Amino acid sequence: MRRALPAGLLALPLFLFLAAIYAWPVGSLLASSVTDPSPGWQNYRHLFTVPVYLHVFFNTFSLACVVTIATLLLAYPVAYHLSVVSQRQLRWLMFFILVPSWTSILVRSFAWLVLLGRRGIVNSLLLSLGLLHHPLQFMFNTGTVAFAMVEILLPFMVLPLYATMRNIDLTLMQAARGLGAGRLQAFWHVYLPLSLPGLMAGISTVFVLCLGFFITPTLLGGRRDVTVTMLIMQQFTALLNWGFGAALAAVLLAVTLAVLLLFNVVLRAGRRVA
Amino acid sequence: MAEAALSLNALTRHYGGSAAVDGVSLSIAPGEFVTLLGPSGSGKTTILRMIAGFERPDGGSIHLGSRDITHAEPERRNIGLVFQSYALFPHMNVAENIAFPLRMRGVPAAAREAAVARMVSMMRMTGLERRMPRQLSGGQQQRVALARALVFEPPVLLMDEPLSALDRQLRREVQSEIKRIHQSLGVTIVFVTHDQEEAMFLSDRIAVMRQGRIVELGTPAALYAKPASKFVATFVGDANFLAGTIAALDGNVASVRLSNGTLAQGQAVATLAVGQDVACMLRPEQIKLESGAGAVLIGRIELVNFLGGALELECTTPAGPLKIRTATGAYATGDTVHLGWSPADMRIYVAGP
Amino acid sequence: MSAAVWTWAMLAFLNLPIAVIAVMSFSNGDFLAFPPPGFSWRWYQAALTSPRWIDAAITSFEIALAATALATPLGIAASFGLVRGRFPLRGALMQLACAPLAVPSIIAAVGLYFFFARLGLVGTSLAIILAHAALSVPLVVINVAASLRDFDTTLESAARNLGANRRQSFWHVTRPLLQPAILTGALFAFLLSFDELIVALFVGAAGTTTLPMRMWTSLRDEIDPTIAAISTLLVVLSALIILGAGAVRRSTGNDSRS
Repeated sequence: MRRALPAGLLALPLFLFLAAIYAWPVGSLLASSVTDPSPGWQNYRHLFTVPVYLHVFFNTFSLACVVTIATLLLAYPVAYHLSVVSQRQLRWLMFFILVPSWTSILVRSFAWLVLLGRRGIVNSLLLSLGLLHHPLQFMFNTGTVAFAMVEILLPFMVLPLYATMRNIDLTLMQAARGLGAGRLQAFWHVYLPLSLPGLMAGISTVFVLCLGFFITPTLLGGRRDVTVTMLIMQQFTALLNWGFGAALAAVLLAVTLAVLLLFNVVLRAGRRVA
Repeated sequence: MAEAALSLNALTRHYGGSAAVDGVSLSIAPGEFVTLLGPSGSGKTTILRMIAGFERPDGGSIHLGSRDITHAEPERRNIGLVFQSYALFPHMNVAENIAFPLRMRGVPAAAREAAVARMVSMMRMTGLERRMPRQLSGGQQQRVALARALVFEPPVLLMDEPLSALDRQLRREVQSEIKRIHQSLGVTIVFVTHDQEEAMFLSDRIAVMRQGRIVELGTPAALYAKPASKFVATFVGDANFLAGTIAALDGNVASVRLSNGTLAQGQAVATLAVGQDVACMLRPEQIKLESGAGAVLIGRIELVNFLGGALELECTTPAGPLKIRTATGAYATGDTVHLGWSPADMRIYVAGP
Repeated sequence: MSAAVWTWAMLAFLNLPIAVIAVMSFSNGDFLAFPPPGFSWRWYQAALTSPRWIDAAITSFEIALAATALATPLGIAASFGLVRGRFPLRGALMQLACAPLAVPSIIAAVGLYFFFARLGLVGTSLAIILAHAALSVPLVVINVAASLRDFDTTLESAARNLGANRRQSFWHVTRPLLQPAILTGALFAFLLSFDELIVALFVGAAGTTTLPMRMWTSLRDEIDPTIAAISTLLVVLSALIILGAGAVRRSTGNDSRS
């Protein structure tokens, strides 16, 4: 029998392509963080010693935490509901989740801009109802940015959660109740652990997306609401500090990979325990 | 002598360190229905896969008629195969599934349609041609798989436990169907199953397999009445075993002292010596309920199981437990029964696994 | 509160912003206002007759098409390699192939800017096409690999036994059953490229302007109701693609699972 070529070779074209168009450019960029404007670690020293930049990282990080937790709390019941409804209902519900999630972030951020601006919807409505006398300043603060980010990222928490929940065998919950567990206990001891893979996937996805957010904070945030991505943008477009910008990008990448790795490890450890 | 339709010669296949198939040789005559019967892991499916071309033997050869197909690509072997899961193409309807092998052989459309129509009517599936596989019942899917495997008139048809997914009633029906098709087409069939009733029902000959080897090859009747080993006796049909030691030997006829001291006569199936530990085999229907003098053992009925046209009595005797099959009658738990049998029916094997 | 009510509330929350934009896009007035003073198609007319917007839309369309055409075969081949290959670290390599999607795109944007600058390709469509292909290939891989993993390989064995060689078996059996996943992956790859802003901003610079880039500059300058109209059209595009993907999945109930 003639042996066919190993199937693994088929993956080669993609990896060569990604090496050329992704890995190499990103690698060069990271390298420039220690070569531009002159060789050495000055860019990193600057990054870690001047407080402003660490503040930006901290702000971005805490924003990501807040948004992730809020999204999780909002998404969990939705994903559960999706996992128990009929096929027909599911299709409709899914449609109204997928359409916003596949609508460009630009459009969605613009929508919030319109809704929460001085002459936006919310203000007009409240003014016309007589609840306000002057338009409220919703915009350009961290709360607005967080609020909009939660709305935008909600589907990305719902979908992984749902993917795991639809495979959870609900008779296990019935068994727990039959054995004497109350609703809350059954949830805590049986359902929640079983939903953990989806939960981990959702958290890591949303958190990493938060770290990379640029459009929403730029449009909706105030002077003090600078995220790392915005900072990097600034360095490259306005300030032309390429080496420093690259250093910022390198740290962002490191944090991203650390988060992804952490969740991967936690997930695998959780599986072994389960 | 006519040329074999399919012959396997010292076929061997290793996995890791052990032999999944260990030097199997088998010659199948044209039109014969041969079953490979054995527990899982006995190598029967591996042999089928090697015949079909999905696995490469490590040693030995396979001949289809006079053609050596040992190393031929699967698509060149021209052998019909019915998979355990049927493997019907879900994106093609019944007619397209059946026509597929003809398309691959370049048969023109008109001839294809005619052949498909013939197959569909032979399988009694007229009217279902446009249905998709997921719209068919298990039995119907089975028939489509069979039709697809036979439409190109292969010299040999392989069937890999094709009935395991069907419920009992349906199995019976499909088994009869397969027998009917075998007789009307005269195609050579190699059937794989672990169900001994099925094997006996369908086959001209059965090859009982164990750990990669054929331990016995024979007609169902021969295997049932005169199994050559304890393993085959247990695997094919129900078997009762009574432990004992050889008291005397006269050629093939042995006198055995059973565990309670009773002497019984039987046929020795191997070279035995006086004093050797043996196991004596009796089929349930071979044990008769005597009255008085002819009895060898006296037993007590523990359970009466109703089998429809017959009764199964589970009895305890001083020599060991026995399962008896008899015509319906008035028996009850606790009854005393007198049991006897013909010495020609009792087969004596060396004791041990 | 039941999960059902909560879900409907969340769904309303999710769709409210774009619904409001859609309503406002039909406004009669000169500014964005809610409720809109009157019903009019004028902003849609403005969008569809303005050369700026039309050119940008066409550019986005062409780029997305080309990027998808590049990403899809690469993704299909890679899926086969990663699912059916037998080599170490397949899991890790699968994750690596999805990296462009997982990592913040600003990093790729800047890196690719310098990369293409050295090649003199900044501002060209080609650069954006290559960049978008890299970003969207994970979508193809995720979809096709998932379908391949569930694929019943005995179907391919059956095809071989029935007389098909490897090529025929792929063409007549494997390909039709993978079609839904391939189409889904391609549709979403297209959408990703069409909507993508950050990488396009850097790599396209002043030379090529995609629709998102045009929208971005307009948003920084003034909030023009035309943007509301274009946004609504983009939402409709997303909705169509999602409906398309759904229809593909349900088409004759193709299922590679036996």
